Amino acid sequence: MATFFGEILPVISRAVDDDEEEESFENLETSVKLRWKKEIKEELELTKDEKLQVDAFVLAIGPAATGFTQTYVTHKNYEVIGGLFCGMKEDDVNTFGQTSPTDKTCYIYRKCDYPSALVCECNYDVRPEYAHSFVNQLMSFLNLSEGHVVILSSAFTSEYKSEIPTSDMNPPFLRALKTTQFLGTPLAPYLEQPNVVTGLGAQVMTYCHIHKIKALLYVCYTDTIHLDFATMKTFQPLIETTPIHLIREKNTKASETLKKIVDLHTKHSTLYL
Amino acid sequence: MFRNQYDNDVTVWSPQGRIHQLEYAMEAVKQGSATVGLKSKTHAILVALKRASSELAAHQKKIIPIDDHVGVSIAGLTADARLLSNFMRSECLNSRYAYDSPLPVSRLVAAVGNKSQIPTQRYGRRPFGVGLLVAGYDDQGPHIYQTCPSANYYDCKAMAIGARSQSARTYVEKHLDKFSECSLEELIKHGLRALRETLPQEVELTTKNCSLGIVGKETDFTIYDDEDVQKYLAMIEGEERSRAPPPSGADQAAMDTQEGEGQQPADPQPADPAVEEQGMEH
Repeated sequence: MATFFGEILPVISRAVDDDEEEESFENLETSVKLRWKKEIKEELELTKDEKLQVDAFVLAIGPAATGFTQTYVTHKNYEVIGGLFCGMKEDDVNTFGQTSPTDKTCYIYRKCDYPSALVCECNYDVRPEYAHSFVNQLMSFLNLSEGHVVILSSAFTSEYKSEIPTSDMNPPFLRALKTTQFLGTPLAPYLEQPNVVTGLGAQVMTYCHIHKIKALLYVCYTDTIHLDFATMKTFQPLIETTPIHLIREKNTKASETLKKIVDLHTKHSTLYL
Repeated sequence: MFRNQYDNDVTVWSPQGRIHQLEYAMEAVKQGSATVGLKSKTHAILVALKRASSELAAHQKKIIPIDDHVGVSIAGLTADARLLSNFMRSECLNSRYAYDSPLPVSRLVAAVGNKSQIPTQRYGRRPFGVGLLVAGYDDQGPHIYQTCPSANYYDCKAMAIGARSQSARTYVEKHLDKFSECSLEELIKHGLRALRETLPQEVELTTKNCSLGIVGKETDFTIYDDEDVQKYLAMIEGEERSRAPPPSGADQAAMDTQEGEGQQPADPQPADPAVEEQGMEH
């Protein structure tokens, strides 16, 4: 198609066959792969409903949240038991070997001395169209009826709508949402209208709400595009809260770990100096 | 800040009389790391925080020499900064060639302002996404100027721009009346302390993350990097830092298992001091 200025633009056809549509639908469903370690698969087979009993489940989404959990929770006494791989085909080979904080991975960790505590650190962007499949696959293996779920995520202050001008807010700051099953007060103010949480975090909260699971979501609003100390430390007060205080591991080298994570993330970005 | 239908172009006014693209461009300056500029009666200095860099590539400069009597430090898009500093260099060079004397700093900054204004008013172009702190010395004495993507420029007594620079500005405002009579050493100490305010408690100023530029009557614009900064850092070593601002937006109310509704939505509140990690190294 030629435009007024003479450029040629590609034209997208709106003629769609019914068959085609169904096929692409199927592709989405199956393109999120959940892989367990061999020992876990055997464990699952031994349970009567093929689910892991989970008392505490923490889902960290994005570099700030995963940086926080890597420093204060999973840095020791945790083992990788599985991973979620997005956008891969059935016969692609996945490994659990990529362990740098900057790698785009989503691994599930289990506390060695407390097997019903799981932490999922999702370091890649799960697009909204994959979120449903991601959550369904993950949750179908977890028995969370007695458990607590905490979701940690981050967003930009430029998306935060409020009467207060941005110059008067002090980013980074936390906001919270919870399901009705969760009987308690979150450590941060509730997310005010008309702000919404979208994507993977919202998908998990919806699932928990429908299945009457106790769940809390914390979103950290930050103004920097680069990962920094302040953003990760905004989550720190949550260490003493349920259920994180049951599953955290004290880290005497916390500052160094945080510094390493910040350096890894900022070393190669010289767009902004 | 909302996304809206008036923010796609710099040539579009919103019904409120705002040009959103200009305001968004100013945000780019905040994505750069912090830098501080101070002046006394005799000298003007710039201190800048450098980001960690890859071992594979040479360090990107944060403070750029322009002429013997002028230097700038940048915050924002690196490439735009390069363009503007090349422009400034050529302006200074032309002035020396034509008039055999250094270009007055105010004229240099005005030229930058005029150049920056053009892309804020032309369809198909975008504002420069960089803020500059200009330190210079001329017949009128030492100067610190700040330039913005909006093409505004400000003659400053002292200024800080970049990420988390509000803390540095607060420090500098507090000590403003001391700067004029300061010796060079004292001035540098103030600059480094102001820069340190922008860092979290766990991070210190080191030779790896700090850059210094000095210009004065008898001093051509000189940049100190790496080991050269050490002697200045030693001057503020061991000084007690002011308490870092606590993370905001969290209530101190711990989680208890009460029945009933949650609390009403509240305005953002500053939190009580964050939980200190036992045995955490500082």
